[in-house]
Amino acid sequence: MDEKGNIYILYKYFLIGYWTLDIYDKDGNLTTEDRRIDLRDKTYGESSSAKEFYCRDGLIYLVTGRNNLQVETLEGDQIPLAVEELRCFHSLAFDENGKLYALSSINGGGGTFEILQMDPTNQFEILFRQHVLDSWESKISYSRETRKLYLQSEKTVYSFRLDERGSQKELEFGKDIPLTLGVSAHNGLPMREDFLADGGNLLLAAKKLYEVAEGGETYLKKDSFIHRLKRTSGPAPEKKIETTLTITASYRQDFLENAVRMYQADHPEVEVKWDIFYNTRNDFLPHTEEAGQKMLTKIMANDVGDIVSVAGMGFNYKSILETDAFLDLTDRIKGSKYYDVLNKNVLNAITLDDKLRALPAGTAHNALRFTNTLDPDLQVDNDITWNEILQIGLDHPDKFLFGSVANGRDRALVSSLFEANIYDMVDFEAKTVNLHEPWFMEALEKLRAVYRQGNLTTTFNFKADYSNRDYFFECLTMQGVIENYTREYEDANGEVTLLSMPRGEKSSNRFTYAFQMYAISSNSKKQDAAWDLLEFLVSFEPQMLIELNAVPVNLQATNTRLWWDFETPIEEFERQFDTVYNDIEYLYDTSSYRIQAAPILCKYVLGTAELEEVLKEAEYEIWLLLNE
Amino acid sequence: MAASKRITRRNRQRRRSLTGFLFICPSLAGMLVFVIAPFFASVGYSFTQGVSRPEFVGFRNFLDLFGNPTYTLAVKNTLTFMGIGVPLTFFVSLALSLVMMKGGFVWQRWSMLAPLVVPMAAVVAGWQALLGEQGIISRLRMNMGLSAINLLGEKYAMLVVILMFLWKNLGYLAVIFTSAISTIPKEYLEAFRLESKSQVRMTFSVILPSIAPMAFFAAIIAIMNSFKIFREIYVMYGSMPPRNIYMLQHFMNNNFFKLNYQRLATAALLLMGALFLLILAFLQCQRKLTKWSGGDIW
Repeated sequence: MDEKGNIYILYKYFLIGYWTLDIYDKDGNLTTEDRRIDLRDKTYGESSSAKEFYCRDGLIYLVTGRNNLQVETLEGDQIPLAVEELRCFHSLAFDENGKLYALSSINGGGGTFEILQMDPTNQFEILFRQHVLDSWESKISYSRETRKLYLQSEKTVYSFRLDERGSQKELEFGKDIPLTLGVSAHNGLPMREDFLADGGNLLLAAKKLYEVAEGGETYLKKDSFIHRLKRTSGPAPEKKIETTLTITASYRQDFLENAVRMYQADHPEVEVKWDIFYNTRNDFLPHTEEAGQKMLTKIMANDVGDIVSVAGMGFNYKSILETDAFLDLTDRIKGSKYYDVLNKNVLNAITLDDKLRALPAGTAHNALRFTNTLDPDLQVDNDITWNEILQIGLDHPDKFLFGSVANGRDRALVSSLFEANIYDMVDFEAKTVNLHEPWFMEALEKLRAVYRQGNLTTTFNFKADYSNRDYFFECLTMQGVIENYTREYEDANGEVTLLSMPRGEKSSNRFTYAFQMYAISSNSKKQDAAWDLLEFLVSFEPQMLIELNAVPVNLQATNTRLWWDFETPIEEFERQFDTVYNDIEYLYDTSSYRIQAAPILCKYVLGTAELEEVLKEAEYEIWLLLNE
Repeated sequence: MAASKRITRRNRQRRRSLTGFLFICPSLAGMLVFVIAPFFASVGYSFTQGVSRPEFVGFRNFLDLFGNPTYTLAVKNTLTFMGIGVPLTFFVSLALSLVMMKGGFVWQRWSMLAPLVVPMAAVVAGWQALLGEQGIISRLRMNMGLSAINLLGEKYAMLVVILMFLWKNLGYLAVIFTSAISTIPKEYLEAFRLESKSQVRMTFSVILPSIAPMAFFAAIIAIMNSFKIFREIYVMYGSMPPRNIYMLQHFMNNNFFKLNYQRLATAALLLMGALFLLILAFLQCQRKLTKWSGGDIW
């Protein structure tokens, strides 16, 4: 509702990925109907979800799924904002004068939260700044009655008294006003939707997902409810800590932190301490090698926590999981109550020497997606080999073989070709390598020819190339699947096909990336408690967290998220998705070989080196890796 | 009376020894905790396998290491580099010092030390700008109508690394030699000149025997420094350098990343043993040479 009492209702059509807006006046008359608006994030175009949406004075204020703040007219013209630093926006609020307040965090600022106030020239002024709030899911709301701004975080609500001048000095930080959030009311599943300060009440909207057994069948039900927050009398009761678990990770992971908070809601006796090297992923990325060295040194010195995050850049986790540094979880996983719903292909893929020493929360899988612009007579299916698909590229110079891909994906294609064939060229037992297989050389030659022909890939340009794609090579993450598929569906008039990447020439090896993989230190004195937490991470509720960007290892959560986000089941797509994910045979335990060989082989594809030269160089480096 | 004086003197000596011991205690404790204890722990590691609960495996790590082709390659390359680089640097710096022994050359002498203070990243960038495929030499060749050449490729990699080692250590060794030569009493040199005017004979008959202890010291320093070339190779080529410059430190460093601490410790122990024997042999040579020349350096 805006300041004049007009009501704005926004619908998202999940299947076709756009939003429509209906506007009613204060008397309830429909003034604008079904106005189609594009709420795509203008910076990170692929996101089409909106976290918060407001209309004021004919302007749309939008916090996008990627935490950008966009201000647009109803006609879709963007209003430039004067944001000096790169910020993540989380929540917005307006006071009775239409003044905008925003809750933001500074990118790479190590969890520094701010409340900003926007002036008439669209400049932001910092009203309040605090280092590390207890939740990334915080929201703000303004109450006209109390003339206070409320900030709802995971554990409490802070209030700010706003002076007319709005200066920082006049703000009152209400850290001594503890409120119960009624965590038990939503049974450890805090899927909070909204927070509203209305009059003297603080209201929290949430949704709850639970299983219902009826007539011998189990199905999922979704309930929404509003919870009124109660002011507690006196300080919050002290928790009785019985177990302290330490988690070691290279950087703060939103999924892990939120999942741990969910776990602690049901297990207040468990305290979790964090041993984190970098505050954010952005801080971590330029220092992957140092972080890897630090992690290895800590593992060697038995200086890691009870649970260690072992996936991610910086070190080769296969080598680590081959050692006894981490507990063998095979029997625990097989005896877990969640074992039946876990993706066995993924579990098998990370089993090394019959031992499973880590549990991935999710995985990402390379796949091909193409639209109906591709001629069906080409017969591209899940069983196509690299040589066959490259031959199609050679025979059809008018078709972009791997569609519009981001810069640098040429290497990813070489990498995929290499991986699909690695087990037929590298003998891991005898530690020998032969890349001079005729079919592999033929595939490389074809790849180079298609690249030269100009129809291997084309640089991704959202607006210009979007509808010209035939194939799209992508790494399937949960949000990516949902957002890309819905948009693609719209562009292709409902005909999109998802396929596995081309298979190897002699075998059908498929690989997957592990996201957020966790292991228990062999030297942990609290292995049972650590396992209890680890097991919880793959249970349904945390696997539903949106912060788990990967495809959940819990199949029930995967299916539910597809069902949840698409609203109506898309059976054909789900079948294709299942087929792709049932194809997994290996985890990317060959990552070091791929990382080493792909740039070398790429030199030939790009035409800067001869085939024999690159094959020899790649063979030498793989030989080194095998034997070192 | 005399006996009592002796006892007092002995007591004083004991007290002085105790005071001395107390003075070295802090550094001794540091050595024990940070050097000697980890050393023995590493020795222990080389006879075990496993990370969290190491198990004793006897000499299996040593046998595995000797059968490992990458270790053999690393040893071969390291020995080749040391076998060429160390003597080359030693003799070139000695020759330069002899040339500069007559005085002067102050600016040249100090400029030779410059490579020691230039940051490693700058050194590597400079060499790449000079020798890389798009480097100055390659561009000059192209301007002359010849094909581009990558002097940092596998074909010339060992040569480049040896030259880099020579460039970096020449000044340091030359300073050691020059200061050693400057301590030779002028009377020795003048007395020899009465007999012969041959500079070559004087070098071998007077100068080299006189500076033998410092020459041995310089040789040991050169050997130690030869292991430091790994930093430059790593910055230029990463953890997987061309086959002919894959050194022992690459092997150990890469095994660290695989959490193969036992193999790393075994390789380090063997390397340390080899260095110990080499230095022992040097010291024996030095002792024999000194005895032969009638001196007493011990």
